Amino acid sequence: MDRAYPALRQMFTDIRNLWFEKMGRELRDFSIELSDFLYGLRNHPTEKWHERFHAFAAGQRFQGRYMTPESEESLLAYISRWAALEMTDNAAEMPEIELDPNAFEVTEADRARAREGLPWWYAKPFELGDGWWEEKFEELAKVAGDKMLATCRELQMLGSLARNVDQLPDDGIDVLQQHVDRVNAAHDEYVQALIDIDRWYLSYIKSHVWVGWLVGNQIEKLAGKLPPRLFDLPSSKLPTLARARAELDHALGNVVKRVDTAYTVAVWTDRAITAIEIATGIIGGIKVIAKEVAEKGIVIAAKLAAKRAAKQVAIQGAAYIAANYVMPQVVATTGVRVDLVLSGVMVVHGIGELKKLRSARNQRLGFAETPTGSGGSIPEKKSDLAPEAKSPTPKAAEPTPISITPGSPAVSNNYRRVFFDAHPDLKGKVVVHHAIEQNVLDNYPGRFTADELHSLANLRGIPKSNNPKLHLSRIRREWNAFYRAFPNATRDEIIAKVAEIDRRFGSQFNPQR
Amino acid sequence: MYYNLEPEVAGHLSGESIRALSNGSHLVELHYVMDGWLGDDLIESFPCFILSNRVRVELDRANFSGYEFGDARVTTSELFQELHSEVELPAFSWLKVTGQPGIDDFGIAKDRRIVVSERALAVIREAGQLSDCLIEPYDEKEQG
Repeated sequence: MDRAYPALRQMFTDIRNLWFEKMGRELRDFSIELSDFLYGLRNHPTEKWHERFHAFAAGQRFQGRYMTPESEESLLAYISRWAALEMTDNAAEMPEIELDPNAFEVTEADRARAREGLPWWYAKPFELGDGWWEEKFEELAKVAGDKMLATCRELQMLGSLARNVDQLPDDGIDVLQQHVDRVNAAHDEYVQALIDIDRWYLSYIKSHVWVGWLVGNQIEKLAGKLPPRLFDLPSSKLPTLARARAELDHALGNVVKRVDTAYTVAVWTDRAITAIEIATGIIGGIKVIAKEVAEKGIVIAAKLAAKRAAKQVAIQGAAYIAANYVMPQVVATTGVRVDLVLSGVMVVHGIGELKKLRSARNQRLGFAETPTGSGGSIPEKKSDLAPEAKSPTPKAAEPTPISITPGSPAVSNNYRRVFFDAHPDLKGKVVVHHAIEQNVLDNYPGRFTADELHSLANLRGIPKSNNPKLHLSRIRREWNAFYRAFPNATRDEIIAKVAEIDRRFGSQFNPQR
Repeated sequence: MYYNLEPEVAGHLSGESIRALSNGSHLVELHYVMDGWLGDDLIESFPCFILSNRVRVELDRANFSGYEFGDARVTTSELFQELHSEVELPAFSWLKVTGQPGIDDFGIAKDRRIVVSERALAVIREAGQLSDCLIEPYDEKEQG
């Protein structure tokens, strides 16, 4: 990733100044292509991935894709975790781990010695009543598994939507946001299920002398199958989960202390070695732990080993766990489409960037952001409006008397004056029209004010020499189709329509758009 | 055989029309403001249609179903006067579509486009101009 990171940065730097009209679709396409690229790395880790990355980055630049500077870091961090985990599959390119030069090496002889001389009663502990607990944990695990699957399905739906975002209004951002909210809600339920498991496990620990072997194994398996975060998705319940886990760790420490010393030596030697093996298997070797086994005692060493292994796993990111544990089990049992789920993940992580891009686009077009955030749903319909309920904002609450009939030309004169004051050289050469039709004031009460519609940002000139009758007719037809299709269009949807019309007809305008 | 029509959009409904719509459950007065006119006899500004009186006469003679006429006030905007100073507008009536699409001669499809029968379309074309009107066969299945 050392080589990929600056290249990614360069790509984003190159493209962030470019025009970003089709932002939703572009990010969607970028996400899809990025997923394909990363999966390509996973499937062919020994190839010269950096060259492939440069080709990928060049392809993105060629297609005019970019990110804002603010978005760069967050998305890069996400991408880098993905790329990093791809490379950890490839031992040849694994980064060197700095080891203690005096690290104690665990040899086969050490392991054999550790296993020798176990007393005859060394047996795996079974606790009375564990059967009930096993069933309980199975039940809890099933609930959590279902929640995990539900989250994946919501992600899949989100990914599917994202792939068809160009069929949605306003690049689909508001619709995507709604589904992102559904993903987050599903993920919240999943995290809550994990909290439930931890709390039940805590109850178990507090009521037992030691953790029974079957229950302990069961919990370990659950930890592998039910990662604490799916795809790094956000959740307001994560702090609660962290607290539950901290309590659990503390309780587990107390259980260890209560265990018989001889038994502890035998059992935790095995566990320490297992932990080392796990750790080395995951990150390439935490050999220093062996020294601590010798110096500090097996119990502490085992706990340290487990912690370090866990830390290393955490460094690699939840994406690793998700890719290696979650997706295989979900896909194998349900047929959820991985590509769509990953597209959904990208959208969840990128939705904030989409909004930033939309904000930038609106500013470029000269419109203020929607006060309600995502564009809001303004429920009034043309057919059932009451005059007093027309406007959602105080500013627009007073109906603006506006007409372009000859009977009240003051306002219309104003907008033309505004345009020609800014473009005096075009006077007599162009006809001036409103990018957002004045009709919008009545068709969608409260979305815009008359002042906004008559501002320079909303005025377009069409050269009189360029058949303005035909162009204006086509633009009116576009708006009419929009009114028909979106009887309750939001402010953002209307702005998006302006952008679309500018894109299609802007070359005919003077100044060009 | 029925057809979906997307007529010329020559202007917009004035704020007065909209306020009338807001005060009651339906539009009581149609005030169509012409911004530009390419010459078609059937004109739309969602959700209303106006039809030139010369075509209206022929429709009434044919006794079609699914529509009624109302008065329409048609004025011109400053833009219209700038671009079409030489144009003299014909008289228009408000075409109120009341029928079922695919059943009556005039209807409104689920996508809110006007649907007319082949016979009615032929009469409109015969009596007037529809050169800026998009016409395509009406498919009831596509309408869901």
